This record gives sequence, structure tokens and C-alpha cells, in this order.
Amino acid sequence: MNHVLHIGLNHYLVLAAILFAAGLCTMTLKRNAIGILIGVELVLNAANVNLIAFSHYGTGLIDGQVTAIFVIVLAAAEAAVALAIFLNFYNRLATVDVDRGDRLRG
Amino acid sequence: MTWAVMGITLFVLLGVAFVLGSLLAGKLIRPSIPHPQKGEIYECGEPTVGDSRIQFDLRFYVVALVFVIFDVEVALLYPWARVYLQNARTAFVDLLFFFGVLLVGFAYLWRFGYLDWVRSSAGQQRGGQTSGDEDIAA
Amino acid sequence: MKLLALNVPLPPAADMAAFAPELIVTATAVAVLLLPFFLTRSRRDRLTAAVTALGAAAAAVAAGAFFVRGGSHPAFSGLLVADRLSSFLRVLIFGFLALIAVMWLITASRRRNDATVIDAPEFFTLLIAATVGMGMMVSSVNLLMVVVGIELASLPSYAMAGFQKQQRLGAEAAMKYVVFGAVTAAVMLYGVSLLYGVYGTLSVDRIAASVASAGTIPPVAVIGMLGLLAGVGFKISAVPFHFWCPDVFEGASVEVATFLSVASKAAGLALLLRLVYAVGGFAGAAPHYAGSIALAVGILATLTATLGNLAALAQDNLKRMLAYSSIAHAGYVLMAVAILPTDGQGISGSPGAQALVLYLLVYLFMNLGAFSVVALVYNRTGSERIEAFAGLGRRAPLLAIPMALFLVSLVGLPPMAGFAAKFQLFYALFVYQPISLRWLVVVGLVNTLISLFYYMRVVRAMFLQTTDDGPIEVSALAAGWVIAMAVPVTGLLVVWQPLTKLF
Repeated sequence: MNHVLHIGLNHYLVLAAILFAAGLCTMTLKRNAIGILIGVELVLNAANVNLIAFSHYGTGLIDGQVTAIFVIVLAAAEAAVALAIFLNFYNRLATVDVDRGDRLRG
Repeated sequence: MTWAVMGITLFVLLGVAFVLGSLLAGKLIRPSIPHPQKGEIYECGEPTVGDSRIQFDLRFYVVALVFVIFDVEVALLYPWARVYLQNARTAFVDLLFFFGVLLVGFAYLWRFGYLDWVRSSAGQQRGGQTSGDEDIAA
Repeated sequence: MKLLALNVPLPPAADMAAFAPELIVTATAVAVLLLPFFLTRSRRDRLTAAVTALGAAAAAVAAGAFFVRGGSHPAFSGLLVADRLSSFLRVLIFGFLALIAVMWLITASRRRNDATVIDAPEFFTLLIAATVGMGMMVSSVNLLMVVVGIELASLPSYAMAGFQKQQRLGAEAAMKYVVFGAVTAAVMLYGVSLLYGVYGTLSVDRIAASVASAGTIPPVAVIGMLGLLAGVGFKISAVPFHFWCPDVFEGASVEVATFLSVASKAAGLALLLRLVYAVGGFAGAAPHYAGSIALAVGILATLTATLGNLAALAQDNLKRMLAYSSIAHAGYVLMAVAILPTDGQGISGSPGAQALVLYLLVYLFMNLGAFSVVALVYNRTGSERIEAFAGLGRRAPLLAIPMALFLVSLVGLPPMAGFAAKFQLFYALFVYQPISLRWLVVVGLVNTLISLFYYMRVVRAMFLQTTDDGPIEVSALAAGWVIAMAVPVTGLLVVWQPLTKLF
């Protein structure tokens, strides 16, 4: 009898799908810019889990893992730029609520 | 249900029972003498100063952002280190370029006062920067 | 010392040579960042722009040399490809960077409190970095490079949109841009991860080969492709992903809006063409599922062009109007993307690529000219609204007449280069498109008719309205620059025939 739960590709894919769904909900429901950024990071991590799992269980090539490393760096750079922009917005309006950015419309 | 799942369930149940059991035992055994001082926040014996939900100084963000950028670049070094011994000379030259470009950015930050806690007026004259985020905080 | 033996070869010199333009531009970015170490404030700004212009021009020449030599060179283990399409677009993009630097010298550097002047080295480093990303976008044949290229083009653009830190509108524009961009980039990456899982590779060609041999696209891969489309659609502001475009153009400075309106969209459209062409026209022959891909692109093009034109009708801010106009033009070019191969031709000489390249080339000059006039009028009047243009024909004829030429060209009326671009596009659509998609020509013509109204509104304001405002002083340099842009816009029709042969 197998005493150990067998973790396979599907488990990772389900985890990634859950992360993606959680991230998508966060991105669409949050009005706070920081909250949206958190949702973005969740989706990026979902992509990373997918990439690494496919790389491990699929071809055996490491291109998926290398891509994951690039994604980590891109996510950090994006977060840094986004936070700097949010900070600037906060300095102007004293809020990071995206709905308050309503001066530009039409 | 597999053995593994049964084992995990048993472990979780025992763990919860142990925690609740000790709390319940403490509740029954200890004397009850309430005192307002006992309800205060315990912070190494010192009385607390102000609210814990304060806004951090904006200067932290600038330094933190710079830190994050340089910190995460290390992730790109992992594949580099992985293939280093296969092709040391090329890899070494590659890395010199990689760090060279990063260093130019770092030198710029340093020279024009983005790393200073309080940006010096000399740095502003040298760089001629306008009101960055850190100036508002200062 | 066996371990130090070179098992893996250096990146071949040919690979480095094929991407010399990117290397030159990157070196320029480093040089621009180093300049302020050696120069005082007063001399720094102009020199920064000059160095950028020279570096970008050198890169454009290097890309042009590769274009003239011709051929297709897959580089860096198949991550990037340097073929005629990518080389031509790199000439276009890097040349455009040089022109933007010159435009900045003429328009922005006159503004005293402009943040792009005060922090010129930082601004130009961002500008150059974004351009390098766009150069990578047009050359990538690997989804990893697609992602890296798009992000490298986007991240500096976010910062540039909010570069005017003192202005509320800039802050708001940058925030909308970064939120929208981050969300689409994340969805794109998830899509890429799904495609990687389905096909086990990130190479676009190998994915296309797998799709062709399977004959169908499984639902998961379709979701992956839609995710990828979100990322690319964001760059070209195709319709469901266009919301950022007008706000960013209005909030950012004119120079940034000009840059984004041409370079960012050109790179995104070329990338989309490459992706659609790879899957829809595998090995040069359109497989049976190509029809549905072309139809999807065609619908996207219809929505984009129509919505862009209709929304532009209601605008009073000229930058915002030109933003919707740029959405509409992206829609026209998307129609070129829908032209899939009918016989075994490569991407570089295909009718779709030909129409796309000619359109982007013409669009570059007319948009650069129109935005330059907006910037010059803004410098004098402090307004970007259509009222500021009232009576411009009398107040500053040297600006108003070229502006009228740019606007007529943007409509696509006969004597102008815009007509050549539109004619080439609709002709290619009519001749090379299967019958089921010929209605796109009708869509294009109706849209051209709609666009007539809002472009002519500006012309009417300039020549038929009168105001009491005095004449606007125009420096010889500024007038020369605007006229220099008007020359290709009017004269391109003469060299139309050779131009189509060129590519």
C-alpha cells in the first residue's frame, strides 16, 4: 500500500489555477492600487508554478525554469516601477484608490 | 481513505486537542485576579508610544525600491552560475558586462544623492534634481 | 584546466552583428547615464538629446545595413531572428528615436519647468531602454523574448508617462497605465505558461509546427493564445485593451505621447503579425484553421478602428483626439495583420507585411508632424485644446499649413502619403484576402469617412475661425522642423512605387 500521497503534475496545475483565480479576483475587485499589484503578483506566481511544473514533468528541458527566473526579475522590476508611481500618485492625491483617478476621462 | 490521509487527520486532531487541552487546563487551574495593567500591550515592559498603524517615512520606500532592484538581479545569476564551468571565459565576460551596466546605474544613484538619507543640497546642485518623492518627506 | 576548455562556443560574431543596433543603443543609454558625471547642468540637457539622437541614428544605419544585405538570420539559439521585416522595423523604430530626440530639442527643451528637461539624463535613459525593448519585440521568435521585449518596452514607458511629477494628470496617467499594463502582462505570462505546457516549447515556430501537425488548437492552448493576445493587444491598444491610451496621451507630455503613439504600436503590430503569421501561415501555406485566426484578427481590427474613430469625434483636447486617432490607425494596421499567405511566401515579402510596413512608415511622419505642431502651439499658448488652434492659419501659417497637410494625410486623402498607405492596405486586403474577409475593405472605407469629420474640425478651426489673439511667434528652427516632416508626408506619393518594391 502506498503510504505517501503522490504529487503529480495535476496538483501543481490546480495550485496554479487557484492562484490565478485568486489573483484575477483580487485584480478585478480591489480598488486599492496596492491590492491590484498584489493580485498581479499572484497571477505571475501562478504562471511560474505552471512553468516550473511543465518544465519538470514535461520535456525535461530547463527552458521553463529559466523563464521562471526571468519572470521573477520582471515581477520585481514591475513592482518597483509600480510602487514608485503609486507613491507619486499618493503624494498628489493622498490616496491610492484607482477610482479617484477620474480627472482624465472622455 | 488512504493510510496517509488517516495519519494526517489523526495528527491534526491530536495537535488541536493538545492546544485546546492545555488552554482549558490553565483556565481551570490558575487563579483569576483581573487588573487593568494586565490588559496592556506587553512590549518588553516599556509603555507603548503612539499608534502602531503609523505611516512609514517615505524615504524608506526609495531605499527599499533600490534594494529590491539590485537584490533580485541575483536571480539572474543562478543560471549563469549553473553553466559557469562549461564556458568560464565567456561567462566571466558576460557577467562583467551585466554588472558593468548595473554599476553605472548604481553609481548614478550614489553620485546624485538618491541613496542619502537626507538628500544633501550639494547633491541637488550637482544633479539638479527637482522635488523627488524623498524631498517631500524631508 | 580541462574545465576551462570552451565547450559552448561564444555567441557567434554573426549573432552579435545582427543585433549590433540593439548593442549600439544600449551603449548609448549607458553613455547618457554617465554624461552628467562630467557635465554641468547648463550644458547637459541638449548634449544628452544630441548623444541620444546620434546613437539612435547609428543604430538605424546598422539595422539598415542588415536590411540591405537581406536574408534571415536566427540568432542566439533561436531566441531572436534578424530578417528583412525585423531589420526594416528596427530602422523605423531607432530612426524614430533619433527624430524624437530632435523633436525634444526643438519643443520640450524650451520649456523651463519641464521635468524631462530638468532630469534629462534619466528621461533619455528610460526612452532608450523602452526603444531597445521594442527592437526586441519586432525580432522575437520565442515567447520568452516576446515577454521580455514587451516588459522592457512597457516598464520605462510607465515611468515616462508619469515623468511630470509635479502634475496631477501625469501621476494619474502613469497610475492607470501601470495598473492596466501590469494586469495584462500577468495574464499574458499565464497564457505563455499554458502554451508552454501544451506544446512543450517556447519557440514560436515549433509551436506553429505542432499546431499544424495536430490540425486543431486545443481549448487550453486557445486560452493561452488569448492571454498572449491580451499582452500584445495592450501594446497596440486594440479595443478591449485600449482604455489606457487616451488617458496616458492626455496626461503625459507631448513628446512621450508621440513616442508611444508610433514606436510602441509599431513594435506591437509587427510582433502580432509575426505571431499570427507563424501560426496562421505555417510553412507558407495557410492551413484550414487559418481562416478563423484571420477572422478573429479582422473582428479585432474592425472594433479597434471603429471605436477609435467614433470616440475621437467627441474630443476637444487635441492630444486626446490624436490618441483615439492612433487607436483607429492601429485598427487599420491590424487589417494588414489579417492578410495571411496564400502561397509559399516568407513573412518578409508577404503582402500583409508590405502593407504594414508602408503604413507604419507613413504614419510615423504624419503623427510626428502633427504632435510637433501640438507641442509648439502648447509651448506658446499653454493649451492643447482645439480652441487654441482657432485662427492659427492667420496667427502662424508656418505651423497651420503643415498641420493641415498632416491631418489630410491622416485621413488618407489622395495627394498625401496617407493615401498611398491606405490604398496599399485596402488593395492588399482586396486582392490577397479570401472572399469571406473582403468586407474589411468596406469597414476601412467607412471608418475613413468617419475620421474625415474630426480631422477636418481642426482644419476648420485653424482656417475658418477667427480670434482676437495675436500672431504666434515661431522660431525658424521649429518651422523648419515641421516643414521637414511635411516633406515626406506630401512627397512620398512620388516614390510610392519604388517604396513598395523596397520591401
